Amino acid sequence: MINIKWTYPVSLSEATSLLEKENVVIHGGGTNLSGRDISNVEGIICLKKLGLDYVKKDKDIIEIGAMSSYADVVKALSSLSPEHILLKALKNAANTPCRNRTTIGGSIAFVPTWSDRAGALLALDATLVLAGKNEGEVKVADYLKNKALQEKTLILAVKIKDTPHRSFHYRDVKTANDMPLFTITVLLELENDVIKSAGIFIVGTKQLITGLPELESYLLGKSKDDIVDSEVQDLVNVSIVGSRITDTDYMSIKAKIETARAIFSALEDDQ
Amino acid sequence: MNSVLNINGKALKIEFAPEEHLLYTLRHNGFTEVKSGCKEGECGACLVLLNGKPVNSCLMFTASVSEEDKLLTVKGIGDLHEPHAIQQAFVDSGAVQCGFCTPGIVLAAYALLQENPRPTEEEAKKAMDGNLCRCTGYVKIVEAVMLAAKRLQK
Repeated sequence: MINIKWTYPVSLSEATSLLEKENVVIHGGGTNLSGRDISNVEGIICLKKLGLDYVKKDKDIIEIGAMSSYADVVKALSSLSPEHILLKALKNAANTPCRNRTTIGGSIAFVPTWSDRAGALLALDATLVLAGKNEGEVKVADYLKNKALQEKTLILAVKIKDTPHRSFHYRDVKTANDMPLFTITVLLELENDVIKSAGIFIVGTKQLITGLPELESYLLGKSKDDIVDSEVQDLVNVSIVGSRITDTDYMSIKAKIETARAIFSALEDDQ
Repeated sequence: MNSVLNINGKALKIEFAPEEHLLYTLRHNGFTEVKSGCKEGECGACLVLLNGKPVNSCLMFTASVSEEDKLLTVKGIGDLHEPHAIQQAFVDSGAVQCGFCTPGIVLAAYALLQENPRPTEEEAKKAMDGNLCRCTGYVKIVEAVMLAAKRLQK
């Protein structure tokens, strides 16, 4: 028999002190935790009473409370910033009932491929607000790379920029409502039709998430007419995890083609 | 663990294990209209409404449901003797074959029509993106949702 103690902290200090115990896990929306083996877990800390379900905007920064569901974020961004890349990434993630439960904080902590949001948050150079052992603000890229930052630490919020950008989010699916095998996120900032910054990430590779810095450098200073499709494809060297009905080589070639298409689609994105 | 759950408008004192999923708690307590399908959030057979929003009960721990939360299963909106307009529309449209997916789909339609009484076909399809049906091919299901929307507007 599993003997797990559930706790429902009502303050941040209570939550962080509970985190210091051994063998405790955090419960956000539960969609990921519920599929995991929790036989060794002694305590589950449920965050629902901490008031972390909010989305607010201050100047060009949008702050999303960690307990906001994907559906909450989609609804809020639809009015705050209707062309935002995170909105494009989340509105088709998983399915309606999952979007109603999956939280933005939980999906960063557990990093499921299907959740679609990682590429967008990395392209946005998002910042996490943390509490507990690693209190403070860190880049989401650092959090995902550094396991030590995740230990005994609570994600309180995600901060993303809301500056003008052109973007495209590609999901490799067989039908619109399918879970993607991989996703491509392209985020471009332009000045007088010239690319001044680029963020391109593919999620679903053998490394789980792969950034494409060489391709980003290639795009800098170019306008749409300067970009050569074949040159873009040459700079996309990723290995996509195959499935039982697709193989890695085929999907990796497809990733090259779709990345080039995504860049051109982003450049046609009307802001 | 013990808790009081508000299910279909009634407060019920329920005992469950700490690691138990809501799907099993509901079924063990007589709510067998909530079906056990894929158990990984893809098929929607176990779909219930939590505070009016569709959720997969297979992906929820019962312990994460509070006393203030309101759960709704398909029997909470109507039954054989007094079917809801959506349930009747499913029958009239021939949108039910084996019936296993129907409770979840009817609830997804119910949630949609509560929020958006005049959906387009695309919006109806999108609202049911978490429900799989292996019999009907979805055409009759979408027809049933549109018929229900039309009837409910009258």
